[in-house]
Amino acid sequence: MRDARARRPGTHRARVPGRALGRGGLVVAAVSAAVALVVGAGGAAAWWSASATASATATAATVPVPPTPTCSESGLLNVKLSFTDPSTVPTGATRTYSLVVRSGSTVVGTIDPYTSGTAVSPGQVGSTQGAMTATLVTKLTFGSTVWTSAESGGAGLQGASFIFAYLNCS
Amino acid sequence: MRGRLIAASAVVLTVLGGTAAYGAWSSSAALAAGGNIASGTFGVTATWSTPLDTTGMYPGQTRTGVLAVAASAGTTSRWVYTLGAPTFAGGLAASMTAVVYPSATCGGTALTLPWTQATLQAASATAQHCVAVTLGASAPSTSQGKTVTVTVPVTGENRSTT
Repeated sequence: MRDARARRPGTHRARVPGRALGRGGLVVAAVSAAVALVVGAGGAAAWWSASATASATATAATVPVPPTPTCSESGLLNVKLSFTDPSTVPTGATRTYSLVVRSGSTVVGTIDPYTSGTAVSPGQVGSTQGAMTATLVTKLTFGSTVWTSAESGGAGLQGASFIFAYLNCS
Repeated sequence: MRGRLIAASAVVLTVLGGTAAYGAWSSSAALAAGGNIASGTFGVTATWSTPLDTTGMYPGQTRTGVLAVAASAGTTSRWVYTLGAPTFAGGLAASMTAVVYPSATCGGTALTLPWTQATLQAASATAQHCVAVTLGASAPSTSQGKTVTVTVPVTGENRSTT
């Protein structure tokens, strides 16, 4: 029986360059190319990016220390502490002062608020006898927050008694 | 007959190229010489055109400065940028807040950060933004004398030149 595939003289199969992909392979390749084209056209762009920062240093203020008060006698039994504060009051703040009296390191009396030139009586410092020191503290009130300064230098007081307790400036 | 058969076979093979094998014609040519291909450069800078003076702050006080954002020298492309939220580092960090405005004017509605300027900026353009820093009204007395560093981050991206 004659082989149907037998070649007749003079004929030959045409050889075509390339490899056989098969139907499925060619479909995948075509789809991939289409996808690449679509993606490349709308979303495959890439940009260079760079970063930088700008910085600054913020510092909170310090409440100025009030001046050392000056002691003077007030009447027969009392003294008064006077001072003038040259610092300005920050916007939005209320300034007051507190007078602190110590005998040694022990606080024997605090007058808050204290206004310059206001009399201080022996009873306000516990009728303490002997040497004492009176200092000032500045208080700045910002709404519900109060900032206080360090204590000023001290003015010397002397507590004594003769029938009644009295204060002298030392 | 033979020729027609070959031609017919070629046609069939071409038609059936999707199912069996396919062949491709190829050709090549050399590009003409001339011109250089070089990569460009891109960078972004962030500086204070108006310094942010935040010394000696009391509770509730706000200080302002103007931030200038620009592409680095040598940039030839257009660009866009994003402003990040300012950060604070230091003893006062918990008591500090900051807002950034759309322009150098310190007022109006502050930007919601991070914020991106999508309008293309020319290569030589400088964008300005007011930055306002506030020490909280409830900052305690123990905050006195403490410091904090406030940093505003900026990210830029280049775009095409046309």
